[in-house]
Amino acid sequence: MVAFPSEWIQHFGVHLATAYPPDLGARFRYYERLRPQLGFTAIVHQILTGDPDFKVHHIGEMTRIVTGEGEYGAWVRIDGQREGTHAVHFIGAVFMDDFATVLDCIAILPRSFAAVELLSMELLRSEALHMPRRPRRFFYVPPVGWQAISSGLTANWYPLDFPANLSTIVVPPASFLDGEPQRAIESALAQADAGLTVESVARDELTTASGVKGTCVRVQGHRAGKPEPIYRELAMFVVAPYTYRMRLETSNAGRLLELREVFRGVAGSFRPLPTAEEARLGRAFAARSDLFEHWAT
Amino acid sequence: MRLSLTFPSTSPTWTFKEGPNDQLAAILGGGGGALPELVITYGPIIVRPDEPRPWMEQTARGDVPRESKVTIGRTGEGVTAVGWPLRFVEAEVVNARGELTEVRLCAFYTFMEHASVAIVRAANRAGMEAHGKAVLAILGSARPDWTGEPACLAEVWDLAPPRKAVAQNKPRLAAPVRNDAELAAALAETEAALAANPTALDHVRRGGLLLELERPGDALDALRAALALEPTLERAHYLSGVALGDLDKHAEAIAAWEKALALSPDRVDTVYNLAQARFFLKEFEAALVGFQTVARLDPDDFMTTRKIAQCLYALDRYDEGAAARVRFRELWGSTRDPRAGFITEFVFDQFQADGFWVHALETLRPRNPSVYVLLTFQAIEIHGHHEHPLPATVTVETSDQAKQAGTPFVLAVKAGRQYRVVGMSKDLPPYPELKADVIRLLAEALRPPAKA
Repeated sequence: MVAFPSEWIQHFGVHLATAYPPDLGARFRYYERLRPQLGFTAIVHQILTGDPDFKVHHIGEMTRIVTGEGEYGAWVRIDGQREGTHAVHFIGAVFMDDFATVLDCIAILPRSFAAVELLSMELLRSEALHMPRRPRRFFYVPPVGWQAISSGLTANWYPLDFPANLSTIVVPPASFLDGEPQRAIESALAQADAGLTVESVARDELTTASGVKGTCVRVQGHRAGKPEPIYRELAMFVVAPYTYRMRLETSNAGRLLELREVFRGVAGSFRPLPTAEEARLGRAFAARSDLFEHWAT
Repeated sequence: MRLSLTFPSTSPTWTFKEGPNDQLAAILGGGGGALPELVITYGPIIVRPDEPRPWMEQTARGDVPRESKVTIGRTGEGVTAVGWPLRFVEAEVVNARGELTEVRLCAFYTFMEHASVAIVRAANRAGMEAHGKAVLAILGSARPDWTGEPACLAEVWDLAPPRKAVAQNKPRLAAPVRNDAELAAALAETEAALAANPTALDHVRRGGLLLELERPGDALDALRAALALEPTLERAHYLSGVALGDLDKHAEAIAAWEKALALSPDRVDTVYNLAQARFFLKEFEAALVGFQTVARLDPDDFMTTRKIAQCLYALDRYDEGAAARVRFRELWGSTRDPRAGFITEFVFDQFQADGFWVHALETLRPRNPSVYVLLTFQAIEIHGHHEHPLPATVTVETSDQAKQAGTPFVLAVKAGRQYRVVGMSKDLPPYPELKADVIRLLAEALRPPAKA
């Protein structure tokens, strides 16, 4: 939850808290459970629909934030007019996979905009939900032109020419690591050939664009009683305290190289869940060195 | 989740209408009051029924007047172009007098554990046969569109533009996530490095951190120290411009950015900031050239076209300004930037009247398309950087009723709580005329009532 300072006037509703800081001409509204979790565009749309008097003039750049607990979120500043005067919405959301929390703030006094902006960001980043050990979605760039079907938190990606191109990429959520990393890797890799009569297995290392090293296993085999070859590729990363897996499966031998390239692209774009550094900096995919990025031309 | 069909982009042309129950209707012909030649309705993907045949029969027989009868005809199996199983069912509808009123071809699709249907309707067999090949191609193009809730984190962060947007209301250095403790630690580290070995790059680093900490005066000193050591450091000139801009020293900021631009002519941020500073100083001609350069260098940045319109109106080049507004609307409607969908109106002109200023706004997305405001002229008071609305507004409105009456443009004035229609016209008057009327009406509305 977001803890508003005790000196603010506060009102409570169902999964909702509204707070008014003194002297800032602003109202904060915190939605504690937004289900299902929508995309940030839909969340912003929902919030702005609830404020029909606000006319949008300019939407700033969305910031990918990380809370102090290491949860991903997004935040945006929206300038507009309300009853003819300059007003600003600061809308932030934290993505918990099964639900989102949303902090919306409207400010109407231009002299307070900067202070309210900072407060909005700080309150969002200080949100405490205490759910770090759950299965969590992690970041990767989806295969271009493929479509996903969700199964819980698992994304099953299919090419547009499926089922003629009988291929799928499966990305389950990250799991909290219990025990030794090596054991987790071996246990996951041992399942790579489940249900197959194996003809060949190969194993090598892979390194993502962000420098994370992982393991990749390629299995070729066929299902019992069926002659068609099945090709599987499992990519696995262990970045404590989570393990991450992605799997390609195809029977499309003719386009195997292309499909492996697509899968390598997805696996190569993988980013582990936020590090303590990202949580401290408040930005996704940020490192301390980014503080100096503006002079590195 | 819905069924997706691909229609030929060449003639004959199909028109599309949304129907009840999340259905889409694709209509061929039927213009000018004539009956359509063909209608294809298709829509949601459902969970595949345990017993598909009764569902198919019920669907093929459904949606007819009570006294009509439906006869199921031929059936057949097939697959779509990409291999999804497909079952065709033909049906004919006759009315109570036994006359054929509709010929149907239903295509039932199976998408793993889901199903969907497209129904082609024609008034008679000849109509169906005339387009048979095209219809089969459309039905064969079917595929499931699984789009729904985000399936991955990348889809949740969907408000990001397709590529980095450049234009900002204010020059920015990085994503606006302030972390003062982290910045202070980095500053201390940089200052320690400078104490040991002063380098131009470390001075620039310090200047950048001080800017992030909103200490533009100190940042400027640091950047000057960098330039004393290395006068051709483009980044130092650029950041000096940002610091000077933050200190409201726009003329000096321009000089700094000009030096940065000479060293790095294609940096679009510098061009944008220069144009914006010139706009602040009312050097509209030079600002216009700058914004036009930004639009050329970064065509995806549709918001810059708004600045171009503002410059043109400030220069009294109204026809070009109107063309820039049209261009902005086009870009707003076609950009891949998901943020555009939220913008409901924009300021295209700002001008001074007797004792007050006026903001001219154009509505992009009306809340009610039957009655809405096209243009708003808001009287405002400006104190330094702050603007306060005054209780007077002139609007140009339109409505379905006004359009039907042949006078789509309704000029109205709102003074406090009082609203008054001033006139109606077939065409909008030329902008200078409209502007003069707006100034007169706002001045009248703001005039204190005469004492009795």
